Amino acid sequence: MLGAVVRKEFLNHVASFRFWVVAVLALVLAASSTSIAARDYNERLRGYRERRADHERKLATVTVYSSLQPAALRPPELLSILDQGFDAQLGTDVTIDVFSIPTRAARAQRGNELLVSIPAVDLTRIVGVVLGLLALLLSHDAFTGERAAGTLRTTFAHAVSRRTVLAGKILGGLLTLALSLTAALCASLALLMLQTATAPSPDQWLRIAGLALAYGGYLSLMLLLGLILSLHARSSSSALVIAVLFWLVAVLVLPESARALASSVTGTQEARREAERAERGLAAAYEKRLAAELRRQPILVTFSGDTPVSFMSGKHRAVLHRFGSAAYYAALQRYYRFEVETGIRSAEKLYEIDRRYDERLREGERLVTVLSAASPSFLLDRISQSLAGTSIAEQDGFLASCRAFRRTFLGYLERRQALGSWRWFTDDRPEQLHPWPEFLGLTLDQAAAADVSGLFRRLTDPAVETRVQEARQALEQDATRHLPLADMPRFSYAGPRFHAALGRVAPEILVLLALNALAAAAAWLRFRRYATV
Amino acid sequence: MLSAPQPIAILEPSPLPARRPRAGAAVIVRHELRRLLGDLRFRACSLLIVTLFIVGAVAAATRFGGESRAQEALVRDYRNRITGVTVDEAAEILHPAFRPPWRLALLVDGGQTQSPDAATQGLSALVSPTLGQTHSGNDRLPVPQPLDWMFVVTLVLSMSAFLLAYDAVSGERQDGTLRLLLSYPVPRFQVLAGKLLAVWICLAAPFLTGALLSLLIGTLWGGLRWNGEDAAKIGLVLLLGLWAALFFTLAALLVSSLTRDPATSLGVLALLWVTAVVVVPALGGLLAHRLAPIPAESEINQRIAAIRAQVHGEYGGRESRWRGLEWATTDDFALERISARAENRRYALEDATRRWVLERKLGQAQLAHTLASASPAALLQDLAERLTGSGLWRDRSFLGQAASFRGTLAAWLRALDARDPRSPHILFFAGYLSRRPIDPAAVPRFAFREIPVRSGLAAARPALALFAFETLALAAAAFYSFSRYRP
Repeated sequence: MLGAVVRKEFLNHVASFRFWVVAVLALVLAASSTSIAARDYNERLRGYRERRADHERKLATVTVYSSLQPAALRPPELLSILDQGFDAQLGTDVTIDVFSIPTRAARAQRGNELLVSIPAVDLTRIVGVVLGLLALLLSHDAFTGERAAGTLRTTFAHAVSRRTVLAGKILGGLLTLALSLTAALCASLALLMLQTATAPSPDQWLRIAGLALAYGGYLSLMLLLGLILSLHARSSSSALVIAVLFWLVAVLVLPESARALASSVTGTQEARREAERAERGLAAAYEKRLAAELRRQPILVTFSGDTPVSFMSGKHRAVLHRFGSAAYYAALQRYYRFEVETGIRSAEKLYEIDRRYDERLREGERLVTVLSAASPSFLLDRISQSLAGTSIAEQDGFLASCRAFRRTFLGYLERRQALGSWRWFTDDRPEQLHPWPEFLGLTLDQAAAADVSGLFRRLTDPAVETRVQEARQALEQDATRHLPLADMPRFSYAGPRFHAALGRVAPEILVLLALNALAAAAAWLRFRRYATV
Repeated sequence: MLSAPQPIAILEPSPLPARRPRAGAAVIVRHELRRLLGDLRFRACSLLIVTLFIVGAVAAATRFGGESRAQEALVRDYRNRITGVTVDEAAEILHPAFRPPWRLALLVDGGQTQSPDAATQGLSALVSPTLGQTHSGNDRLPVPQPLDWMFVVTLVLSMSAFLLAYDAVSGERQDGTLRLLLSYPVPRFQVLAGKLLAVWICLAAPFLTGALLSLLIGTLWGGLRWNGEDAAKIGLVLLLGLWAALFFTLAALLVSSLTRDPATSLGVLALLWVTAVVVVPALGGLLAHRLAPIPAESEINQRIAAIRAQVHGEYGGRESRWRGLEWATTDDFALERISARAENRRYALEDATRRWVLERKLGQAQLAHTLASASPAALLQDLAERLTGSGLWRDRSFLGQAASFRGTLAAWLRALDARDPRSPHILFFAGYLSRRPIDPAAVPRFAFREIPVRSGLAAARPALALFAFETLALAAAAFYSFSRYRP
């Protein structure tokens, strides 16, 4: 008997005008948004590969340890095509170095920063908004409509139990929704595979299945809510009024208001300025200590024949000195050892400040969770972002693995005794030093006796300059100076995993399931005593 | 003792309508108003509208305060940086142009809290300009949609109009009261006009109340100050909101008089709503991505690399010779002049590329707006942005003004440098300019000019005409179908 009721419900829904309109709208939107998102994904993947190859090339030619700053790059996530989540607004690139602990990634991948007033759509939003409305449209008149038409009485007269009728209504509605959802999902997946020319991995398939179930759970909740409204309302139209109002508030207004309120009310601006001020203070104190340390080594602050004439500096205190004397390098070694030791400690203090700032941001996040907890679409967003691997927690995981890699990397530098060595700041070989006075045919002692700045000016004499240039070029082309990196640890980021993703949103999943169970129970309690006239 | 309102009492035959048919519409309005005001729908919608106005005003005013303070801090930083510098050093400093926080974000945010509002540029060709944001929100939260007046109008006011008016015709037909109503000697168009007016009043009241509260919160609590131009823009947005309420009511009445039962009316209206508010704008954005793609990063990098190669080729590798003064003076900076020309040329070419990228981005955003305007909800948003000079219009204006600000700065520094006979006048390269100090108070300041209401109105003319046409067409269709409606 249940089969017959389900079939009747399903066929009724599928024959209705509203079903086809919404299903077609959802399908068109899903296909077009997936196709755009897939192209964007391809672009991001290409950028990621190019940047990775570029970094590898650069690393291979590094000659001193201070310039050895491996990059930790987060690869784009295939399932971000289905739910873009935070992928569009958070960065992907982290540079690992001794002097900072990563808490943020650079290069946020926003396409067009001027196209902001039209919100982006993805499959999750289509399910949440469009199919969510369909669920309510299908179920709001399940009982009011039949009661008005008198068919409910006839059904009961055929000795069909109330339980069967209710179960049939629920299953019939779910089947109809599943039809529309499957169409949208299949179209999206087909486009995703066609356009990116990649097949999802088994883990990704698992997560896609999880996504489909989450969508199903959300739609069934909306369907049940519609049924409850239908059981309490006097007429179909009053049930629909409440259903539409509920949908407007729960799906669109509430999450947006919660976000807008939380992002402007929690004082992140003040916290940020405070953190920046503290960081500036810390950095200034650090620089002061470095300057004091520098002054303690007179050879480093006065220009002489010992001074390296070739000096390059890069980001994160990368340095390269060339053409200096042994005495100068010995002093530099003491200085850089101090810089690195205090730098590591100062990085930890900076990290502490960053973490406190981050805590403030998390307060805003919690506020949104509290404010929009009543919205089923908010629950859906959380679950689907986690499964698609585009949640903020996933980004936290990436940054945590960057920090873990930094620790491994520091261990490697210590093992290679790189941190306090000459190789930190120069690729001049200790046995083949070439202080600059030698370009003029002078020894260090002869240079010390003469007028140093007069000598130095002679370096720009065309004949001498050519010699200096040649020596420089020889150094640049000398591949034996490149650091041996065969045993350097490499950054690896596992990416989102089904089990981890599931574990992170277990509370949300439980709430969604519990709401479904509650709604079903409420519907049953009401329907048991439902008057058919 | 007060007696409960009895709507049916109004319908009791009274001689007045027969003699003075002009009063017919007034009677209908009063009758409809009583019916609507007592209904839960009206209370729920009003509550929602007013609440959203209040929440939106609190959010916008707080954000405005935060943005203003962030910009003030940046302006102070800049003042400190330019104090005590020489002409020479001023060439390499990044001079910021900040777009002030949007005073009318409360009404029409137009994405102003997310689009770039800080353009910094140096005069030296060796300094790359940046385009960014002074104010960064909480990036642990998804980017929120602004809760401005237009959010209320396009999402909530529209749905409220549908909820209040969906059964105006089909509902009365089902209850059988329509037959009675039409039996009075009141012309049909007056009946519909009465219904229209009643629903419109029920929408306008919470809208105006909410708007008033929002303005009060903005001024008294948020400390927002508006000038005469702003007041005119506020008035225009208010009028637009009232017009929108009329438009949505007409749509609901049309659907109601095309269908036989109220549940179908509301079902159709809900579908229309989701199409107009969610589907069409989203499709517009997606289509714009496809039809007017913005250059990929790799493409931009290729262009920049090509420019560098081109300049290198043109100057045969002599383009980056910068010597110390004691050497350069021997041949009157001959090499440095060549290097400066090459660098300036490279900067000009790269700047053209940057402008090209920005134009493409603006073009894409413009196309997305145009395509989305197929939906009346997006058209209203666009209209509000044009009228107030917000959104894309403000972005475009800011980018233009910031670009010409570099010209102002250059003219100022060139004049200062020209006064110093000892300067080699190699513009604008640090080390080869005047070493005289500048007066920090005389540095040109960027002052953003908002789009005046007059040009906003001119820009809005086509969209206004389209919306007026849509309203008239809807009105004609509604009155026609009601005149043929069989009760």
